[in-house]
Amino acid sequence: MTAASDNARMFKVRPTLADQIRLPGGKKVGEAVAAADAALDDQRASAVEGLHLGVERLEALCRERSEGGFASIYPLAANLAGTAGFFETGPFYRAVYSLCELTEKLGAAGRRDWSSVDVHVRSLRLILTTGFDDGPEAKAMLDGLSSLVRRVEAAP
Amino acid sequence: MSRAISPETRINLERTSALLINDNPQGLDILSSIVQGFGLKEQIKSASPDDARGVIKRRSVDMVLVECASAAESCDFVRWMRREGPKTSAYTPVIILTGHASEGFVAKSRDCGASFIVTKPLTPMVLLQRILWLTKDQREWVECETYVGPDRRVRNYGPPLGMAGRRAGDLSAHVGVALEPNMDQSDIDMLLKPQRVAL
Repeated sequence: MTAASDNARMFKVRPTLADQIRLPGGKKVGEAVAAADAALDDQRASAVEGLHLGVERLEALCRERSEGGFASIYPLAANLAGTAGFFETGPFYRAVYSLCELTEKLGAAGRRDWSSVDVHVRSLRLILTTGFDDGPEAKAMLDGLSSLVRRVEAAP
Repeated sequence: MSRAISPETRINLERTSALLINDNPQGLDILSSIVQGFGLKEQIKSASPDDARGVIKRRSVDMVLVECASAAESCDFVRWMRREGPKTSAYTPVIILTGHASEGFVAKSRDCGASFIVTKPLTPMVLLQRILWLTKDQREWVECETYVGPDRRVRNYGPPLGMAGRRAGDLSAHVGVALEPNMDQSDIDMLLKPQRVAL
């Protein structure tokens, strides 16, 4: 038992949200979700455009291979995963997630491996070009990316 | 937690104010559209945790949704809100959203005092389920030197068998050895049998 846990205070808190949600009026859950789905659909075209721009920026970083550029890859990939994760982007989301894993592990180990990043970025471009096709080719590509990440993880 | 909600259930978020934080402008717009679809009339959009700190200092909100490319920034903001922010916002439900949920991130998010961590890919239905779950959240609030936030144990089954609990209110699940002989079946029947009572 730690001193900190001895001094712990525990009490009930009721968020204002709990009362507001029960107020008369509002809408049915089905209607709320349908409205949110429709709003999301309206954003899809600009989101896909944003994914294209993001991949272009990753490609530029891979071409430059600058010292500071490597640190920019993770936040860029995380933002792409954030946007892609709102939509049905299948292999794109999984590939960009893999890029996040790769760069996080490389960063933690203080290493840089531009070739592995480059393979990921090329895969992202291919997925965009094929319209997020989730066929056997995409699966094989994602398996390859996973093995790359495992290799980086296992490296001393 | 993931129990389906009936589409016929009526909810009212019209008077709910939400602070949406996302350092990716496109992500912020998407989140805002979804939340607007849920019926929220008042949303405050912040492009960074620093900007959001300014909002929280000026006013209270009913709910916070935060997503930053850097996990540390999301967690630092929540920790600040729980410990150093105005008292009126310390208990506000906070959902952390993330596109990349590494193991380290999930642990950090849990320990910073967030009410919930929602990992992507996600649909509006999943996000709404999590918001509705927060309205029924029965967890106690914990304040100690190392942690401020909702109890991290979503289900409390008590301390492990044979171990003393770390909290004053913990009861052991171990029932111990019986102190009296078992009751006869006839005694049990008598307990259950309806009896006429003279009033």
